[in-house]
Amino acid sequence: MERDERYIMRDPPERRIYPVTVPEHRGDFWRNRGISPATGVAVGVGVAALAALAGMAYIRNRPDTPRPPDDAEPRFREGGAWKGRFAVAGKSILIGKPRAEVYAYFRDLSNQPKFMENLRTVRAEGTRSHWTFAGAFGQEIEVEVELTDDRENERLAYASVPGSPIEMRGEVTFRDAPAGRGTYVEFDLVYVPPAGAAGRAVANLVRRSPQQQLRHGLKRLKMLMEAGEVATSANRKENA
Amino acid sequence: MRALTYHGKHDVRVDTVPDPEIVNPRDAIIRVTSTAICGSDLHLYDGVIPAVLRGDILGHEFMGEVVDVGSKSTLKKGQRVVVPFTISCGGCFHCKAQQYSACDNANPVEKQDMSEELYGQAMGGLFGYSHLTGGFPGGQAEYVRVPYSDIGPIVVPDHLEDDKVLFLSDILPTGWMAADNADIEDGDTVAVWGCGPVGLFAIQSALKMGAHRVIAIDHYPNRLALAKKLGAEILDYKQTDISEALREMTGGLGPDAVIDAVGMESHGFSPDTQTHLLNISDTVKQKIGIGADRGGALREAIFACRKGGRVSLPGVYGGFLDKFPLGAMMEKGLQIKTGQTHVQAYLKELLGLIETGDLDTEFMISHRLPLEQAPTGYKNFKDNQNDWTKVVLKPEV
Ligand SMILES: NC(=O)c1ccc[n+]([C@@H]2O[C@H](COP(=O)([O-])OP(=O)(O)OC[C@H]3O[C@@H](n4cnc5c(N)ncnc54)[C@H](O)[C@@H]3O)[C@@H](O)[C@H]2O)c1
Ligand SMILES: [Zn+2]
Ligand SMILES: [Zn+2]
Repeated sequence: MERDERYIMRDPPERRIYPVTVPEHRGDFWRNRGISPATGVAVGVGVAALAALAGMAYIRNRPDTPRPPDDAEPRFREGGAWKGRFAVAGKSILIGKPRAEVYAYFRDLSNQPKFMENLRTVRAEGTRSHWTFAGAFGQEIEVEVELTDDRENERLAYASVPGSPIEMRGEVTFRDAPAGRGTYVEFDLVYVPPAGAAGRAVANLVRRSPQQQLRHGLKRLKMLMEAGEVATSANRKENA
Repeated sequence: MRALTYHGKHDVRVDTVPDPEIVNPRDAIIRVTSTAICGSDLHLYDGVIPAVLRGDILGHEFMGEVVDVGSKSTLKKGQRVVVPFTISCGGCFHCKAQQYSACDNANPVEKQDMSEELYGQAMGGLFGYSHLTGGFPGGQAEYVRVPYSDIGPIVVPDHLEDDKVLFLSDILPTGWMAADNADIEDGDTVAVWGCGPVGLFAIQSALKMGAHRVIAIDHYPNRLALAKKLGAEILDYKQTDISEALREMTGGLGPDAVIDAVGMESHGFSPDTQTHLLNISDTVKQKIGIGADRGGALREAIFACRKGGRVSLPGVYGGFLDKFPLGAMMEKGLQIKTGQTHVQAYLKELLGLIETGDLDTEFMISHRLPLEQAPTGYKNFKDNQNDWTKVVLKPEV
């Protein structure tokens, strides 16, 4: 403990300005080269000042890096987003609810618009359902969908009926996560966007890849199931 | 309403903005009675945290009165509450494990992409702390919309005035968790870098948790004086070789646990230690915008920590750090624990300790200003840290 007294401050230090001193031998360095120490120091300081000025000028004039918009697409592209004319996306998500509950929520197809992007409404009658998507320029796109597989608490698959303006297929599986963590939901989606390349251009224009749309969709599903609502930072309803 | 908004580096202003309203069923609206400026806010003020946009309302330490509630809020109008700076749903994997700041469901879906790309997983939601953490309007304002209000806010009894309980919102639990993460054992020496509000509360908490001695490191006399008053032994890094001092003070062992309560804007250019030299290159990089973090204090802490010791890291870092002494970390077998504070996990316990007088929460407040003078508060809390230890803003004054 005694030895610590060398380090521990009995009292908080006084604020002080530290004087700058040039050590003796530096003077020798210049003198040995036939330059007076004062000149050496002056030249040195001059050079340092110029360098500092140049550096500061660079830092000041460097343009601000523009901030990306809040919903900017990540800079990396997720693989497998487009396969020929098909948009392909597959994602899994852990939802902290029992499998039966997650399955039931998903099976009620009228819930889909609450989490899937660009989907306005779904009306279901038996294994048939009628989906309304938001299209470009405020249009709506109507798609007839058939449930092609329905295994309770395990798997759901659906496909658009032939001749629909959007050709699409979806497959969802539900698995138990270990130790009561809930349910893994795995969602694979394949679709041909309306009007082929044009639709794709629109999709690219709004900078949402199929993979990103699906990822966002599943995260919203997770929020709805775990938190009961979809998070927003909007301070007023009109912005939400 | 009036609110402090971001306009650019070192440019914050009090503006008139639209009042918030209930948007989601679990929301509540709080009329702010007290709010504080945090060391974390200085990282925003200095422009070293990305995705802060012009017009964003800052502030994450606040409390006030409930004035409106959504259909699923458990709060009642008129209640006095302190609001955690972490927004947490209560139902996800992380919330159930009491890792509230890691909540999956607080950061809006569209905003998760950025941090998912940067960190591998998306960050949780925080009030007033950039769009990486949700872009939620903050608490340095007259009113705040509080999402998931049934999980976060804690109702405080009327006999405890604002100044006593306000810091439950962040720095008190942050100091507590910093000490908790140091896994303090009998006989331990704990070294704390930084005697700002977080460091000071970490010191107080470490002593409460049974540390044999706490050694506090900073260079501001007033801040060191506060640390000493709490019972810490103090070192001035401008006058002392910290690594040597810590080794000598512990018979060569080194401190059992080290706490970095400085974060990404560590000072120190004095070329006295190996670790501070590296800080110079970090600073240059931060200024020209490559690499985000300045890690002088963290490097020094890891360097000083005893073999098999524990590193607790409440200080905020945002990006990448060069010359991280990973070798020292590995060869000495250190453990590291860090994170944004899981505020909700500590609220009840800490409110209890405030009520019984076991924790002092007011000693560090140096200035109380009306909200309208918040920009002055920011400027001085940054430039005049010796005298401005903690600033509390009062919207009503
Ligand atoms: N983990 C969390 O949830 C959480 C919450 C709040 C704050 N924080 C972070 O904690 C850190 C501290 O916050 P604060 O409010 O106390 O900030 P502050 O800016 O008031 O205090 C920082 C202190 O560190 C000192 N310091 C700087 N360089 C140093 C060095 N090399 N060695 C020793 N001391 C040094 C400064 O002199 C200053 O007193 C910040 O990074 C802040 O963002 C984290
Ligand atoms: Zn804070
Ligand atoms: Zn959660």
